[in-house]
Amino acid sequence: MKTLEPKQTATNPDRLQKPSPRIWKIRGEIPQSVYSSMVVTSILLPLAAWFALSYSGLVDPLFIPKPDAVAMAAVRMFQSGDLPKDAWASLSRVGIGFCLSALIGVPLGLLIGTFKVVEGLFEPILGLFRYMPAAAFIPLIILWIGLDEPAKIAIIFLGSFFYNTLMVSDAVKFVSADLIKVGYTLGASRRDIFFKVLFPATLPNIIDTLRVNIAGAWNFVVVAELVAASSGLGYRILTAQRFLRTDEIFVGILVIGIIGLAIDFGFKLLFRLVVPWAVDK
Amino acid sequence: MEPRPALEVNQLSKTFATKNGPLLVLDAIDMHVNENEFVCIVGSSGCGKSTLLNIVAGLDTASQGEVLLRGRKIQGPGADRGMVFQNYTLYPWLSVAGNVEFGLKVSKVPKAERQERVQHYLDIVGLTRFANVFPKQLSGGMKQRAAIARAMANEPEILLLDEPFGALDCQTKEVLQEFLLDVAQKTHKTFLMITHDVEEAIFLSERIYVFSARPGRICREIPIPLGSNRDRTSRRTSRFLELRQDLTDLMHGEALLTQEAL
Ligand SMILES: Nc1ncnc2c1ncn2[C@@H]1O[C@H](COP(=O)(O)OP(=O)(O)OP(=O)(O)O)[C@@H](O)[C@H]1O
Ligand SMILES: [Mg+2]
Repeated sequence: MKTLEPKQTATNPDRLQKPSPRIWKIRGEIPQSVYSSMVVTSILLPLAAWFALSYSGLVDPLFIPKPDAVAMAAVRMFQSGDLPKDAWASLSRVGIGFCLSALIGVPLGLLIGTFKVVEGLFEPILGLFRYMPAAAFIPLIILWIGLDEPAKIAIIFLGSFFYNTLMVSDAVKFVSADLIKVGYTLGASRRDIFFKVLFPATLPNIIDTLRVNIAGAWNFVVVAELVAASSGLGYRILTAQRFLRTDEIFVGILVIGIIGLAIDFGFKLLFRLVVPWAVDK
Repeated sequence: MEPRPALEVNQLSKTFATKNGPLLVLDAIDMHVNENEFVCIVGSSGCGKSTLLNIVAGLDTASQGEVLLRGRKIQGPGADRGMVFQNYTLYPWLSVAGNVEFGLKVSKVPKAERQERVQHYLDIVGLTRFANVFPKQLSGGMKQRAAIARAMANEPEILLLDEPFGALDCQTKEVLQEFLLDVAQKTHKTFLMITHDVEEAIFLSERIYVFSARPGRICREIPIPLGSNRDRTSRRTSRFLELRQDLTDLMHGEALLTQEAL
């Protein structure tokens, strides 16, 4: 063909051949070593800043305690048994509150996504409640339920229930209609479609929803304990503040973060074990 | 006497309610598929082919008219009509064998027979080696073969195929057409397939219904007298090329007509 214009052949190859930097390829894979060094940097950099600020004496230890003081506080709190006890108290609150919320929210979400009748009945009202911050309900809950364990569990329940339900129902609605249709043509009953098509199709999303929302619940337990408690990591932080023990506040916050990370990891592991077919790659 | 058709569609019409008022998509469709026959429906995009197949499958209802399967009126979806869709619809959480087994499980076929049938149909579609892998590890062509095995494992009275090879590249498509021809010849089942690929229709079917668009009507019924001993070389016979030319011209004319109507 002679239709190619010489001008085009002169400019286009230039543009095409310009190599793009390999690690900045959009959504591209990078060598494992590059990735690892990024991770290490992201941890070391803040640590280095902390060391520099505290050991240089630029900042009062009251505001930023020295790393060794924090480490020692951690050892002390661990040995006295306070830290394990507090962590356990917080964990069990989240465990109970969040389990309740998932136990009711997941089936309800599945029903909302499956049946328009249930959707009409629940979705608007849950959608409204979702935008009412659970923290704002704390005074009411204290008034109604008191200051004891049930109140804290109720706060965690309220803080995660609406999200669990609505996110699961959305996931059901995203299941391709073809998967349902093909089920019917294979002889499935409505019951089969619900349990053998919709449920397994949504399961990866359910696990992911729980993983995302338990992070919220884990934050909430601290809020609940800041209000009224005699145990728990939130309570520990509040007490430390009263005695100006910044190092103990640091320990409390770090432990909360580490436990949160562990929970997240646990859910990711669960995902790989339960729905390996949905794992990318 | 003519044998009773496996599938009869009598005076079937379908109207959709849309924002701009009722939309007549299928207008008084009369057609049938005989036992062990392979019939194709061809027609341009949007002429209501999928709508018709969905009604036959029982996934949608007719506005008027009826569909009879071996003389029984169709009321809803059922395992007596298997369906293969254009989109990949294997269940991603089940292995290939699990997918093929799905219909047998929901119909409570005993385990021993289930396994036997799964093996048999995986063998027919040549996927025995892939029985235990997840669908995401299959190529597009293999996915459709598995979907065909899944539909056939139920041993339905008719197989409905809605452009099953529409998403595949040319080479894979040809191979799968030959595969389907082979399956049809081996299993003596009844097939109703939708396609807009003229060559595919001629290669596979014994009879073709040509649809015209807006509203969908049957504008021609064409027998394909290529006999039952076809293979890939049949595509190059002069008879085949002639039929292809005629059908292409016919569909081109139809397309022009609908363009004008727009
Ligand atoms: N649920 C619906 N509501 C309203 N209109 C619809 C609905 N389903 C299909 N249609 C319309 O009916 C017509 C026929 O659709 P259909 O999917 O049956 O066409 P088709 O022949 O299968 O086309 P294609 O070859 O593109 O698959 C289209 O114009 C479409 O817009
Ligand atoms: Mg279609």
